[in-house]
Amino acid sequence: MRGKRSFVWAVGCIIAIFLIGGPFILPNFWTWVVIEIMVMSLAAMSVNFLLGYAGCLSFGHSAFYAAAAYATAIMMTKTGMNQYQVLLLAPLTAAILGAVIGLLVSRLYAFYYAIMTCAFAMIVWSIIRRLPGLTGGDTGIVGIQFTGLLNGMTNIYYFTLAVIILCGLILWVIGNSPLGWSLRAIRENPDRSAFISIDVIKQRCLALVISSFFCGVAGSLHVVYSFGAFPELAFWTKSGDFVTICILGGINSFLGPIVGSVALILLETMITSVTLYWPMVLGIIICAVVFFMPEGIMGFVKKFGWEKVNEQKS
Amino acid sequence: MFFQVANLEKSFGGLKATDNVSLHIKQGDICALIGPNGAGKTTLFNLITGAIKPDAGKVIFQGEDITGKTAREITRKGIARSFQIVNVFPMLTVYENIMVAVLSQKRMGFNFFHPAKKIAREEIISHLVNIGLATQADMLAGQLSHGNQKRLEVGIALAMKPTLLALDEPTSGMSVEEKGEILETIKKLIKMTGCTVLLCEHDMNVIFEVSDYIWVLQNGRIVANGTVSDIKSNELVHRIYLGGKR
Repeated sequence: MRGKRSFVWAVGCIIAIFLIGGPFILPNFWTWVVIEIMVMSLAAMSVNFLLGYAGCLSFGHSAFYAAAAYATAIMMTKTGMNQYQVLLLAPLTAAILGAVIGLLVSRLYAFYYAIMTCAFAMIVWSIIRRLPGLTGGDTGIVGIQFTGLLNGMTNIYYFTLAVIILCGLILWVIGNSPLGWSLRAIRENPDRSAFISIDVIKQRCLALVISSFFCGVAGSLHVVYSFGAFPELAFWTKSGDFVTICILGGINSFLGPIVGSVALILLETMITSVTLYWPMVLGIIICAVVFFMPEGIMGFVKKFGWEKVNEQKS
Repeated sequence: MFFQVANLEKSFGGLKATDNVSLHIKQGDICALIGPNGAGKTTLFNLITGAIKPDAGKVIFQGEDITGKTAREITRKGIARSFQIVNVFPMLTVYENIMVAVLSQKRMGFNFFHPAKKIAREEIISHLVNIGLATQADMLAGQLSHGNQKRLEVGIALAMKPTLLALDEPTSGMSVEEKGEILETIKKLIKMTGCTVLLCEHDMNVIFEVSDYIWVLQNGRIVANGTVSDIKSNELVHRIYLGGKR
């Protein structure tokens, strides 16, 4: 056990040093990749909050991601608001959208939940494309420049890192709070949960609101590093990416979405430079993960780690 | 009256599962509900605890009409139930199973910043000791033996600190020895908590041993009621259970 713990610490330290030194160690291209990984991690963590704790599979998180991204872009271009105020308000837009959708879908389970959330995402997508005056239609809103702490690659990198760590900590605290445990109970057995006085529908709705807020934070950060908001952000395949990341990393692990987004984006970045058939390769990888690592990469690591420890014991 | 059901009716399609049922329970009693398979015992339980809504009739608990209220509201009012078919949280540990109930009982379901595992530890552990699962606290509930899952089932219900505990066949699917053990545990807990009990059971020995008062259900109707000795000497009950005269 002790060996294992110090190994985890060592890996943690290396990752921490690497993250802190990021922009000074890495070439520019890879720094942007790491920023993208961080933003995707947060979005996937928000999806996994719902999926891992509450057991709700959402295919609609692209709607929250895009809603916050567009809110950021619109407030930055059409109002004279302070950029920090914008970044605080934009995720609330996503949370409000989450509350509205939550009221409508929180009674649904499994397949029906996934389909309904997906449908709402498609509605948001079509609204974005049909309002060119506000959203720029198919081209989206481009060329948004932030200033001060949010200007330049190094600043954006550290700002993103700080926000992701803060949000990750908040999600961790919520996940281990009585709310988080009530959600686990609902995931395990919604019928019995009602018989211990848990308000199943309200709690599932609240879980979606929390999740959509953090997905919104990621959406806002997307505008910061890509300087724009685009209709594809709302398309259901974006939700598919988030879910893929969760499955790849492991839905029963808090760090799963982070590991998953590192894996997915690194693979994507490296394989697209070799072949155009990137989606096919991804498909094969997902199949392999589902077959051989049903608990995702983190589940595999945990299991493998445990077996090692047990071998040493015996 | 502490608890009262009046003229309760429920049909599923053409089948009258609960047919004009009226019964009452005195505070502090252990009241048994018996009847052959398909008599409508579990349906009556479901009606009382809010799992399904009655077509007609009233359920009155501590002077309040709770007819048609949801399971969550009824549990809040102090009626907790256990299930005939094991109904726990399989992928949570035994400790966590009790913990989620205790947290909910303390109305902390919407608290999102306290570390849950540090709340009410003593209380949870004492519940575990009471139901005899303290040594299995870290096991996943789904991995417990059937008998222990039934114990946990009762433990979850008791963690809600009910004033009326509805136990739906707490000994179903158990061996004779296990039955004896869990009955001892249940009797001890009832004495300790002082709650009133509505017990539904197949095993007549169990019923005669623990009950203060018995209601007999057949084809959705109450056909007899009385104390243990009344029921023991009741012709009709013998016919229902043994198919004829003694």
